[in-house]
Amino acid sequence: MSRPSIGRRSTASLVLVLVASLIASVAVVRAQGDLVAPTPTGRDPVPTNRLDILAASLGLTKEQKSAVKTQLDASHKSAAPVRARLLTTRAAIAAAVQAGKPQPDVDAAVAAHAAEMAAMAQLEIKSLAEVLAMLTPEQQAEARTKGIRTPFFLFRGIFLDNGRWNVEPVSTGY
Amino acid sequence: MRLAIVVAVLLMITPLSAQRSRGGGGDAGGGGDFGGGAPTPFDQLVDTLDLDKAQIPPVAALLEGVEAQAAGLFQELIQRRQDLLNAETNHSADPAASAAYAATVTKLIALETKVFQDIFAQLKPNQRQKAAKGFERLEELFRVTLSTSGASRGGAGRGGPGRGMPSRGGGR
Repeated sequence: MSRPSIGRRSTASLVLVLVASLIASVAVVRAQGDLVAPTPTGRDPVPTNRLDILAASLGLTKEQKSAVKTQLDASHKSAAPVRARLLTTRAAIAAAVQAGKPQPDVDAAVAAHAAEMAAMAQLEIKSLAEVLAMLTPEQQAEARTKGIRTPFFLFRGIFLDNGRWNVEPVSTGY
Repeated sequence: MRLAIVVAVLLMITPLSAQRSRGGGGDAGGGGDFGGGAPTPFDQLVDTLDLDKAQIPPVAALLEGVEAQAAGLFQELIQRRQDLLNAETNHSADPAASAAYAATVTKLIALETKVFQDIFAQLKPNQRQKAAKGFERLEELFRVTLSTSGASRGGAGRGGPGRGMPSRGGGR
């Protein structure tokens, strides 16, 4: 007689555990949903590509954003020769070491690569300055208040990728 | 002109915070220090060169040895970039700023190359064939890890490699 009673209790416990798990799962999923894709709360999704981050940090209008994209597309294209030389000069350092070349040869390879890196940095900084010049006086005032840390670091290595510049930024470039 | 001045002031406050927010295994989830997640740049270097267990500690020690110096150079480079930007926003060419940037980046590449040469000297013949690829990994390690490790702790290091450094056994 006691067995069915135990069975009923076990079943009831199991149901309770399942219901509790379900409630917990729903709560977790909702919490995750809030973090990843905020909806009616009024929060905007977190920007992930360079252009969106730039637009958000500088408060660009749609027209400005489009103009910035056009300008950076052109800058990325014009950076192609430096980008190519960065690869070859970098490879030349490794080749010099592998071949056991004398230190002056290695130093020359280092200097050649560093010159290209400096050239790329100049292009990046020039492009950033051009973007800042597109801002309205009001936006410039805002930039003075908030600073431009995000755009500053966003442009580091912006043209290193052969394919596109408007991707999720990673720590690349000097 | 005023914009350039503000840039100078505000960038000095937390110059590395923006770098730490993405990529390369940040403190909160890149995996490096916590032994999980994606392989660290150091792990990738070890894998690329196919280092054996006995070779890992000396390579880690080499990188530890230059960590503070590299971090200091990265800090200097950020300042040099700021100088370049100030010149650009002031519409005034500044050859001195360009030369200073080039000088600092040369020091950094020279340091990377010295480390590469020291690692290369420890490689076996079959490993040396993979050295060029290893040099690429080393670049990644410098940019992603060393650029934000020692400097964020004051540039002095803590007697061990920074984030992204050995997560596997035998690394220290």
